[in-house]
Amino acid sequence: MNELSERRPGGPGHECPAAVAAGLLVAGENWTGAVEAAERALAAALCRKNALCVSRALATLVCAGELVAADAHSLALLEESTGEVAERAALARAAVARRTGDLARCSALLTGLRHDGSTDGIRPVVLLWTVEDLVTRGDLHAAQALLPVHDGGHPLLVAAEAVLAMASGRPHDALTGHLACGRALTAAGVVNPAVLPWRSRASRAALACGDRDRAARLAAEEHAAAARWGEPGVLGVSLSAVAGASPPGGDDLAACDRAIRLLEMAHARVELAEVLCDYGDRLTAHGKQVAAHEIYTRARATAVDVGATALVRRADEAIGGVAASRAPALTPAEAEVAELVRTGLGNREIAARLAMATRTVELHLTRVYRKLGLAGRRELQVTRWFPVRDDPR
Amino acid sequence: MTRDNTLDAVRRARIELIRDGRWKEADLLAGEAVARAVTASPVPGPDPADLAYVPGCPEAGWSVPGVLVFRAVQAANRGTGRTEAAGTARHVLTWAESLDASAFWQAVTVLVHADEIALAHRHWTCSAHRYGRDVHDLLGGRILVRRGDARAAVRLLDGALGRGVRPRLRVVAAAWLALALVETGDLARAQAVLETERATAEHPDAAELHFARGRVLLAGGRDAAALEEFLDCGRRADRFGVVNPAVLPWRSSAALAAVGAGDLVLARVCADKDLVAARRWGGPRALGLALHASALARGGDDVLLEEAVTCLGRASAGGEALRARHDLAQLLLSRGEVERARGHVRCLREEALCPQWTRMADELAHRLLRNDGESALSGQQRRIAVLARAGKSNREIAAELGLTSRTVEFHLTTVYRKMGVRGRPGLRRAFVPTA
Repeated sequence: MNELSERRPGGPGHECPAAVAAGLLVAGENWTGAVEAAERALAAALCRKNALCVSRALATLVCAGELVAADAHSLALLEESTGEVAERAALARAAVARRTGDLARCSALLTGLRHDGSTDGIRPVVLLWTVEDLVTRGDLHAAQALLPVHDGGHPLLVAAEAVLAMASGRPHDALTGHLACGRALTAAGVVNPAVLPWRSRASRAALACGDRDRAARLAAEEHAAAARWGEPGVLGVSLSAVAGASPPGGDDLAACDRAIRLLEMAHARVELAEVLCDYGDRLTAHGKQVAAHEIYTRARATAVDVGATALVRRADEAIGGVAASRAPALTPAEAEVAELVRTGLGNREIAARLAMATRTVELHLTRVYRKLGLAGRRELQVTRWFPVRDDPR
Repeated sequence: MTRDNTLDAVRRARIELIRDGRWKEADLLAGEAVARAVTASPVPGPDPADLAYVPGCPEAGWSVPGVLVFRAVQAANRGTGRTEAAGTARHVLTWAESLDASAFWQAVTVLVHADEIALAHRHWTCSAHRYGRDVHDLLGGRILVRRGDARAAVRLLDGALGRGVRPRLRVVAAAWLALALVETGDLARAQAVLETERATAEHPDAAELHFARGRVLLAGGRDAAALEEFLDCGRRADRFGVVNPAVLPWRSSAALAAVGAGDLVLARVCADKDLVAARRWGGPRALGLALHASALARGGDDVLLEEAVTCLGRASAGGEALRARHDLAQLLLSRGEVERARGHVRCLREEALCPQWTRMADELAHRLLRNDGESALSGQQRRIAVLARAGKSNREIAAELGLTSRTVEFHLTTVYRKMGVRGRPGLRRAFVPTA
């Protein structure tokens, strides 16, 4: 991250495309321009040989969510180069693995980078990601052991401390840390949350401290900045913070739903598992146990997939909580009627199609609403968490 | 281990690599598996559709040209190296004698994705029924839609489905027929075709089916439902590692649906991603679609829309070009630029290929007549119009903007008059710029 905001020119010449890409990335307002500049840099022979250029271009692609391109370029660079360039390529591969939730590979790559005596430029970021990785896997002791006792003051190390503090149940320290990190990044001109979503994290910490107003303010700011950049992953994370900070009442469910959709698009499985857990909590609070059960099950599957131990535990406990109060499943007839309602048909049309009386359709529907805890037709049509029947379409 | 087991292992390993963000390694793995399949005889080798996204590949089986063209298919899925991919496909098609149906299908598909429609058409005409009548009809349907002759495409695809196609081709046949029917404006039949088709979620062509469903819903003005279908299509395309919008422009379509549903942020995310990918691939059609989506996602950008019309015209992309021009005319109209709008409406009437577009051109012309140039909306009117268009009731709009229902009604009446539309249904078909 140092390398993104430094004023020192990257490659030779004034118009180095990697420097342009990094400039657009930290400003966070021109997504297409940043991606195209990064790809221009990686196509230029001069930039491909320069560690700083490679670092900037690959970081731009990763933070833009152009993971397929980042994967292809970093693999090619790893094969054709040695030394610092290869090191930056390996770092980018770790970043892609981290974003897609391949935690095992990410941690292997980071370990390699730590042991092979990584250069000063990337040491803080390697350390931050290693700590995040360990916290996600639930190994707080190992994370603690990695952090230096004396605080170096580097913003990324402050962020790592804050992440650990949050996981260890010290939200006040976490909030202070994330805010300090954010101030340092802002001072360096890095205002794009895709580089480090410190506001979303601070918002969660503020919420844990009981300061809902502050949490809402931070989340709203983050969401506005993420929308300016337009990468679905960071947008989804910011929306989940917005949902977390908004009072229960309907808007929070819609925000969760949008966050899930965006995180799916971004392949961000760790964040997805976390938002699914949050969503399940919200649904439970709204009295929608059936939907919550679906969501928790999905959250658990995703968390197991990526090896996020802490989230698996959380989902397991939640599933146990809602399973007891779970409503009976829909009968085949009810499910059929409900599916036709979801395709937009009216009761009379459904009755004609299924050869039953309109009154019967109404009866089935009433039971569907009760069993699924839905308020009515409109909710049935828009809910994405409709239990799928066995015969898939 | 039997042959099938190894293949299954490769298929699964590939999907896992993609899920873990290792797209390049997944491609290499599939490429090696295909190369092995050719050197090892006897041939019934892997189904190409197991190792890359090949919508409706007619049969398994590998030959030397098959391996070459598979590389072109991979490039097309990734969305890089259009010239080389098209070159390879063209080269392979010159070996007419040694081609099997699978290699022919893949080569023509690559040409279509690379916007080499004239070339694809020539090879398709020459091949006649050599690779089976169903293969001929389906590829013909695909090519003719792109040449702007949707009605001929419907005849071919409909005939093929009526006569019966091999099971592997059923899903694409239905999906492509539905898309062609949407182009001719026959939504009711398109819907009927898709309703009878129930592919399992694991079907390799499920993405095509979701895409077609989305287009039918979008054409019918059911934006929110269309958006869900496009996102489902995207999930499946992602699983296969398809990045290129020329293969499946689901993001551009999702952006249009999101604009209609009032989610401009999601629209811009989708449109921009396709825009960058389309520029990388370099084919005019995908670029035009992405520009169109981008223009609407930005609340209406006439420069981008003009560019979209040019690109789509160059790709001779029939209905898609008309749709972009239609939106451009609407945008200019609602900005009060009546003269420019008039020019585009005239073009639209001249180019209209089917009754649907003639009717839409007439509707625009009618609005032009009623419009005296005082049609630009105020900020408040725009906000209200966008919410109304997204399906909100007057009461919901009032709550969201902190107004009384009475005020909303008053503003909406002015909006209808200024835009020259009749009530809410008219508004749904009109485009409301937000910028």
